Parts: sequence; structure tokens; C-alpha cells
Amino acid sequence: MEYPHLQEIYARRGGEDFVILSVETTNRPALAEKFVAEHAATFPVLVDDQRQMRSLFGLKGVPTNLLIDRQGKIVFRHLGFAPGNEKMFEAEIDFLLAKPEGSAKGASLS
Amino acid sequence: MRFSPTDRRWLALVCLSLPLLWTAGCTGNRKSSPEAEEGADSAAYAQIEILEDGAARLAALRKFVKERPSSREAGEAYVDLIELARTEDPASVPGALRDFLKTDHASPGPYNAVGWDLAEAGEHLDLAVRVLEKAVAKARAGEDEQMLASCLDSEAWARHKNGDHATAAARMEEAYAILGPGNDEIDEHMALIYDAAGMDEKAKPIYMDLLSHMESPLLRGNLARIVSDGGGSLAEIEAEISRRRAEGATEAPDFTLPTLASAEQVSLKDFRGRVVLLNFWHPT
Repeated sequence: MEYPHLQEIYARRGGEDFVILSVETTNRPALAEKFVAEHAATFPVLVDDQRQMRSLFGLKGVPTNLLIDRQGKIVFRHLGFAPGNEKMFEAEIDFLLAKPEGSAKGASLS
Repeated sequence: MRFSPTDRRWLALVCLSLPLLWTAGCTGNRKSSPEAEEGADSAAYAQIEILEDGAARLAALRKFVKERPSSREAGEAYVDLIELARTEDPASVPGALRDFLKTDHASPGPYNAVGWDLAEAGEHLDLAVRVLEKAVAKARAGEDEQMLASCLDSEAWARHKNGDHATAAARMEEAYAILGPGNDEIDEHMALIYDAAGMDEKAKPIYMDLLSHMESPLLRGNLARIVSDGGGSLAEIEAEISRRRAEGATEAPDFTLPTLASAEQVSLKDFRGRVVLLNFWHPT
């Protein structure tokens, strides 16, 4: 389950440069509220009340995590969550945060 | 890889770590057949599954596999038994693995699960390889190609961890022919195994494909090593990855949704200028 990891990532990096938006895709707010409270999540949790996200983002399943860069481009998609995946997310987020605004240059290899 | 869409028992385990797939057969296999639920074996096994005390459950599992070795639950029991033994009674694990190797369950699932967990943990790798060879043999006898690929990947990974890089590469190539490319976990295994086997020229394009859509300090470091060992230009490779990244990036569609907490409307465009992790989930 990714929620504890997301909360940790958000606690460390959330702010003017980075945000987590978590969308509950099955429109079950009561169940979702209980779950969010259990995990003490402080990032915004949204409800897909029209069930439109699946087609809008071409989701193949949940959980899916996407990373969107400062220019509004989806640069990372990940379906599923296994322990350890959070490290990949963190590397990707840090890579995007370190990237100068407007630059398409990647991280350095060396 | 532990995932097996057809072995219904693994669903509970699988769904802990894998997504609910809308397109695959995951949910379709959720219901077990009524016949399997009946009978003394499953009743006895159900009694064990609810034991909370680890030592008590381990003792009950040992008794179960001894008394009902050919029951359909015995394979599952071994998976639980060995997993528990690793924490409750580590010295007993090799013996339990040897006993498990003497069993002959039709499904490759339990052999794959046990072997994969050991490979991931880097424990008892010689025995893990033997258990996984059995998983592969069982899977070859069956018709489920995904399961075969999963078992081959597991065996390759165990051999890789155990330093047997040439055989690891052969097994992994077979799994990769079924599942890859495009499956990140499988691609990563293939690249790392090629790399360890000294097959740099085969590892390099897979590293590049992976880095073209995901960041990984491990993969980036390995690719940099391969490139400099081969006398190539790091700058060129770096530019190529950046180019592919920019090419693959697509505009995120905007949306407006109510928040769970206050029903206040939030739009993605409100966060332009920030890096956004957009998480889609469902409560379980």
C-alpha cells in the first residue's frame, strides 16, 4: 500500500514546489474518509464523483501514480505499488524538482 | 515475480502488492470454487490460517503438511510455513525447503512464491534455485504462459543473486520473450542480469529505454559505467535520454474534482508550476 509512503514523501517535500493530489476513483467517500483518517494523510484527497478519471487518463488499473512536471506534462506513469517503489518515485520527484524551470535537460549520468 | 493471475490462492497475496487490474483476470478469479471450500483439508487449513500466534501457527502448519501431504492446501501451507519459519525458527528453513522439494504439487504457484521470496531476500539461494527449477518444470507442463514467464523470471533472479549469471541470462531471456519489453520490472531484471553477465551491449539499450520514462539512480549509474567502459560519450547518451523523455511526455488533461474533506473544487491547473504526484487509488 502506497499511502504511508506518499504521506512520508509529502511531509518531506510538499509545499510551493511539490504537491500530491490523490484521487479516489470509485466514488465511495465514506470508505475513503475512514481510510484517509487511518493513514493520517495530509495531502489533498479528491473524489472522482463522475468516474471520469479512468478514461481521461487512460488508466489501466489502480493504484496508478503519475508525475507531472512544472510545465504540466506527464513524465512518469507507474501502475501498481510494491514495497520499494517509493524509492523510484522519490528519485523521479527529486529529478524533476532539481530540473531548472523550462529546461528539458535530463539528470547527469556521471 | 510472484504474480500469477490463474492461481486463485495467490490473489490475496498478489493484491497486496499489485494493482487491481481492470482489464486482467484478477477479479475474475476472486471466487474460489465451492468444492475447494469443502472437505476436511480446507477446514483444517482454515483453522490454521486464523491462528495469530506465529509459533502456534508454525507448529500447526508443520503438522498439516505432515498429515495431509497430498491435499491441495499443502502447497499453500508450505508457503506460509517457510515464510513463518524464516522469522520464527530460521535454523529450520533449509530442512523445510528440502521437505518442500520432495513434494509434487501440480501447481507451480507455491514453488514460485517460496523461491521468489527467498531470491528477493537473498536467503538460501542454492535451495531457492532448486525450488524455482521445480516451479519452471511445473509451469512448462501447464498451459499458462504468464505463469511460466513469472517462474522463469524468479529462477533467473535467484541465479543472478547467487552469482550464476550465464544461466540467469538464459532463463531471463526466455521470460523476456514472453513478457517484455515494456514491463518495467521484467525489463529491469533483464538489463541487470545482462549487465552482471558482462553482456553490456544487450544491457545498454534496455537501460536507455527504462531511463527514457523513469528515473533510477541504480540504472543511471550502471548505464554510465557501461558507456564509459566502452569508451562512449556520456553527453551523447544523456542527450538521447532527455530527447526521448521530452518526446514521451504528454500534456496532462485538466480536471476539476471535489475534495473529500470539504467538497471544495480543485483543478489540476491550480498547481501549474509545481511538480505534482497524481495518485489514483481505491479504498480497500
